Amino acid sequence: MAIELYRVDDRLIHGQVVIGWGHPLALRFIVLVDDNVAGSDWERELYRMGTPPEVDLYFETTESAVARMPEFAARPDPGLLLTADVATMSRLCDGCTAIREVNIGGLHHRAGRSPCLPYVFLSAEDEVALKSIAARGVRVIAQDLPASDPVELGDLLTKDGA
Amino acid sequence: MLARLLTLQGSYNYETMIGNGLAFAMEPALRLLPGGRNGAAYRDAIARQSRYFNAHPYLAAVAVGALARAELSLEDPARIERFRTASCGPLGSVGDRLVWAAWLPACSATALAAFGLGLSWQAVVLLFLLVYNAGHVALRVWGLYAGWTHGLAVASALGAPLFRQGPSVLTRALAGIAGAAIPLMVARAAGTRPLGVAIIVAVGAAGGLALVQLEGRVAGWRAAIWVLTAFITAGVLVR
Amino acid sequence: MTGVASFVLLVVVGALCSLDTVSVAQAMVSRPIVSATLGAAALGRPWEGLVVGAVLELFALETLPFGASRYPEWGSAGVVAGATFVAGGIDVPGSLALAILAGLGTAWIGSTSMVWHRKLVAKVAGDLRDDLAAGSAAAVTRLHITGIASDLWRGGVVTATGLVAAVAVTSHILEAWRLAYGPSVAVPVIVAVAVGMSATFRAAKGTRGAGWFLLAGAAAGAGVLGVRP
Repeated sequence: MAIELYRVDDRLIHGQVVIGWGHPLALRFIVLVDDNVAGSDWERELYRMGTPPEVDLYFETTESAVARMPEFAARPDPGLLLTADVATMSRLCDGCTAIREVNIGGLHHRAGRSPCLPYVFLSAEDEVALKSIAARGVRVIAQDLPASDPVELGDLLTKDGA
Repeated sequence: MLARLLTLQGSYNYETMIGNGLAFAMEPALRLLPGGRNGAAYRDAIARQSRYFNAHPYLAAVAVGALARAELSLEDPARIERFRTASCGPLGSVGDRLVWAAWLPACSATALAAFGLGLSWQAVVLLFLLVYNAGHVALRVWGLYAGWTHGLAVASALGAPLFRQGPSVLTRALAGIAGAAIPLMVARAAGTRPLGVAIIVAVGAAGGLALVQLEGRVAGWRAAIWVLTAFITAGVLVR
Repeated sequence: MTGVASFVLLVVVGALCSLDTVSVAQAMVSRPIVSATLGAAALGRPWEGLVVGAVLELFALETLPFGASRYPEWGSAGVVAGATFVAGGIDVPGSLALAILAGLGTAWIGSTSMVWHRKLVAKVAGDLRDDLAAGSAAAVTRLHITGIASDLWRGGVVTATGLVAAVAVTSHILEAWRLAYGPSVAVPVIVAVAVGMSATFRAAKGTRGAGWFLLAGAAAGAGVLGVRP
């Protein structure tokens, strides 16, 4: 089964992830890739509390995630990989050719970011990074929940928050 | 602050989400900062707390308590900002799993069972509102207290059995209650005998299984709009 | 009560139930089993509201109001469904199907209106950005009250829109209705059961042992039905 969804979401572990995707995909493990979180005890504790007890949670740096990817791919149960920003996902795609699709699940308002969808605000750097991911042949879509309509990268970059 | 928490999502928007509501709920506590309402500490705290934030509306009480405590303790602003960022997801996840995915549907199924068992409209509505809101209000009060007590170290409070085991216990209860409630409410809503109920529930269950196979890609309520539109059109046109 | 007075009362009840969905309290007065009952009670027939509200509640079992995602708004929807069922008549063939469709349609309008409302509040937040960044508590309060007032107004408009649409078609459709009473009730209930069951199956699928509880519950429900006179 391995990793079924590679998602960029600045809230990392929250309801849309553990229930919205977690229930239909019957998730059994989550790989949280974030260099800051991986090095912070209290943040790891907080995210662990937000994860259902029956779901295994792995905290990885970008580097360790790339190294362990074959191990995650060999797992018999379905999993999900999360990053909080596009740059981290882009680096993962550089190091792992097995990623065929990236889901933009939530990038919220911050100074320098412009609205594309109610749940996607992108900076100029994000747009460049997403285009470079797509240039590798990886499908990039925005989709917060399984029942929402997926928005392809080309359409996402032309939207103005509508 | 507790009363203000009830309007936490009053200014919900796609830019700051419930950030403004967080600042609004916390504002009475921030008046205690050095200099009071006219002090720089008060203005800095309001500016910080009104930025983007999102979490489950009931569990956000934990963040309100913890952040108010941190502000009044003159905690490092960078650490406060980091806590705000890191707590969004987990407080959303815990609340969504416990309340939206378990407590609310369990209470909803209980109300359907009460309806199916023949209770009056007053009894069904009151039972639902009283039981649900007993849990709801308790969670908000606990959240504010736990956040205030533990401050930025509140993660340990989220490890309580209620939050770790509660969702699965409630989901089992939901499954049991819904299993009993659905045939009972069908009998009362459709006014049919047991054989008719069995047919409706069996066909409905088959439809439910088909929806599950779609792995959440189709929202049932939206699909139902098209199905019922087609049915009503047929109901008018059929000879 | 005159037609206009009833309409105004329904719009007020719908707006208040709608406000409960997100902005104020979230005490679940907005759930259809409550809002539909209140809508029908405003017309003096709460029982009809409870029946249609219970059927809509099966659809609401599927609703998970996550963050910025789009989800149905059941507060105004329940009020419109309850009022439509009262207007159509509980024993009239086609009336339940029409009331459920009126509720689902209003829930869809409500869902879309929430997106517009949130964008509007975001625009006000943008206009107040400098004041908020400067730590103005007055700006925080102003944005908050604007948001609540706008949501109350939104709920009223959605309820009024749903009611006008339902009133415009109810009598025409029910007069032209050809199917017998039995299937006209069974089909909307089957659709609701399918959606409610899918939500229950999905929840049970992710929790060890929940499937057995579902089966035991179903057996208990069937047992009660079997022994009840």
